[in-house]
Amino acid sequence: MSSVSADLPGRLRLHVAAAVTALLVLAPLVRPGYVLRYDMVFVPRQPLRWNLFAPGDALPRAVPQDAVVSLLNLAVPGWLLQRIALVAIIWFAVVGAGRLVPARRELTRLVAAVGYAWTPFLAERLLLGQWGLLLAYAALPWLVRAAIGLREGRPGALPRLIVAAAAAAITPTGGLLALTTVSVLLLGRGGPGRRACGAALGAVAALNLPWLVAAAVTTAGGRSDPDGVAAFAARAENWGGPLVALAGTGGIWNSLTTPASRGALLVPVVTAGLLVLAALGFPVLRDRLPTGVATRLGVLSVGAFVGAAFAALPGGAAALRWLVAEVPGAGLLRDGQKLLIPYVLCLVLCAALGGERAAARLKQPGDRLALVGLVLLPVAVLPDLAYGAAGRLQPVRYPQEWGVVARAVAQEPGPTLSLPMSMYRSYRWNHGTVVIDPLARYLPVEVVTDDALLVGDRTVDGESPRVAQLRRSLLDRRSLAGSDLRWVVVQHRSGGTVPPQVLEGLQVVHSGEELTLYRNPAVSPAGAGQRAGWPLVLSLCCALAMLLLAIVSLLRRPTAW
Amino acid sequence: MPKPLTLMLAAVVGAVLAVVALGAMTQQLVVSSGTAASTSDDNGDPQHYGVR
Repeated sequence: MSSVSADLPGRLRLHVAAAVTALLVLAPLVRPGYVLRYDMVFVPRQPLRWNLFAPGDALPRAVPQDAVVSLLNLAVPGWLLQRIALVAIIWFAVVGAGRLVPARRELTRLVAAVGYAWTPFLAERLLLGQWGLLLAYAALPWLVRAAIGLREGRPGALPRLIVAAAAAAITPTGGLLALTTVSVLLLGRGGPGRRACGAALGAVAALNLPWLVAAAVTTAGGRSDPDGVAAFAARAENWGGPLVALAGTGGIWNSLTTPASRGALLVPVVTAGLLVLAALGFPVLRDRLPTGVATRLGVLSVGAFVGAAFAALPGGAAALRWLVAEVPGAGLLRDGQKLLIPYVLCLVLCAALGGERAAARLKQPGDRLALVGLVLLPVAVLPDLAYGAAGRLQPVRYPQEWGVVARAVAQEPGPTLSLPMSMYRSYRWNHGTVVIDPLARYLPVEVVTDDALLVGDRTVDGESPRVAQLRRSLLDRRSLAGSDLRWVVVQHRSGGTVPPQVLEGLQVVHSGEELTLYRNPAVSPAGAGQRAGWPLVLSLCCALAMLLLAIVSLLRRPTAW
Repeated sequence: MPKPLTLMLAAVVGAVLAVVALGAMTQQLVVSSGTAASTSDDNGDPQHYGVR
């Protein structure tokens, strides 16, 4: 790279910026408790359970995320783990983007750093609780930097790349994103670094093994409900339409997790300005990165944008419906906006460099003021990411009776059904915020929950044959005493109703304000089943061993990063 | 003349204060209007994953 790399004061500035940004976004988390929001659930101690490692009858959407949380929970309590994860996302996003941008001025680094951590994408995915995907978002600048280092034959680049890819591969989407990024940046690379590039590709592919093996052993099949394509397609946030929303790094499908500021009249104008700056900055990026890297990064980001916008393009929705219904695993593509991550990084890097180029034409102190303005622009355009997304990230405590029920179930373990049938719940003690049923991670036994998603008036069916059978049984109002379930938990005032007939023949063990626990006397207690078996254990061990080797290799170097 | 680093830190601290004030104001507006975001939106039908 022809630009100067960040010196010590420069790096310190990036860490200060990271601390300030993390504090601004996550300030409400100084209060005790857990932020329970949409897909984000942390519990005091998540159990080590096979169906969290690899769901036997569902698609592995949180593999190996749940396994990693369960393992880390052995040493770190859930409330602390959640805070570490959320702070790490913002910290690594800020520092990663700031160090990746080939800037000649320190202020440009801050533009990229703050710009990458204060995006509509991060805000919307954070509000949807997808912290695992955001880890991939935060890891991407580090991954790109390591891949560039590998191309240039820098020592230590391979272990750095493995560590960054491991952080990204905590979810299937992040793992595929890492694999695609590494492939695009390294494939076709000849010369002395060829073997290292091959090793990098193999390592990142191996990091994807846990979810691939889990997908292979599940009974859910790999196909998804094509109705999800319309439900999860990118959405317009203002008069600009869905493509402009995506161009501004927003456009998530859920209007309830979109910051209110995204609806402002000026947002498409700011987006247009950013695109102009990015167009100014791309030639600078091309000149300052090693030959060919910026072009490959550009191709990757255009691909990411097309993937994100696919369902909104003419004929795209129909093609995607066919893919999702017929091709196993294609369901990953139906929520397309999440694929936008490489585009976001490329946009931020180019816009920062475009800002530097434009500022170079101004006299002092105008140039500096212009860059300071660009540092603050993301905050001005998206002020409601501050203070826990305008107070929407609120920690709460689980009611005491959740612990009572967990202890009762632990004494006589067995499959447990969470009623009423609803994958997502809204509790008064959680300020009515929608959250995926926390019982599945709170109880030390296998918990069956609904897997159908309701988006507006549309129902997107799940994949589990077992849940489909239970749903039919409940619709027919047949008693659950005849099922293979040891326990049934009814969660009051969380939405939906339970027909009294289905509880006939069950014994009440606990009856409280929030929960009622029923025991099924017809089913004996049973230990946890080991459905997934050795292939899954081996894949997890392989990924963990590779990560540990990479970390040890980095620790033996004088400067890890 | 203050050093650039001092200026930078002053700018960051100023921005922090501005954003905290802005965030608090936004939250107040949102909660009082009961329309845009925050808890009012989250209190939708709990069975819904979301609304387009």
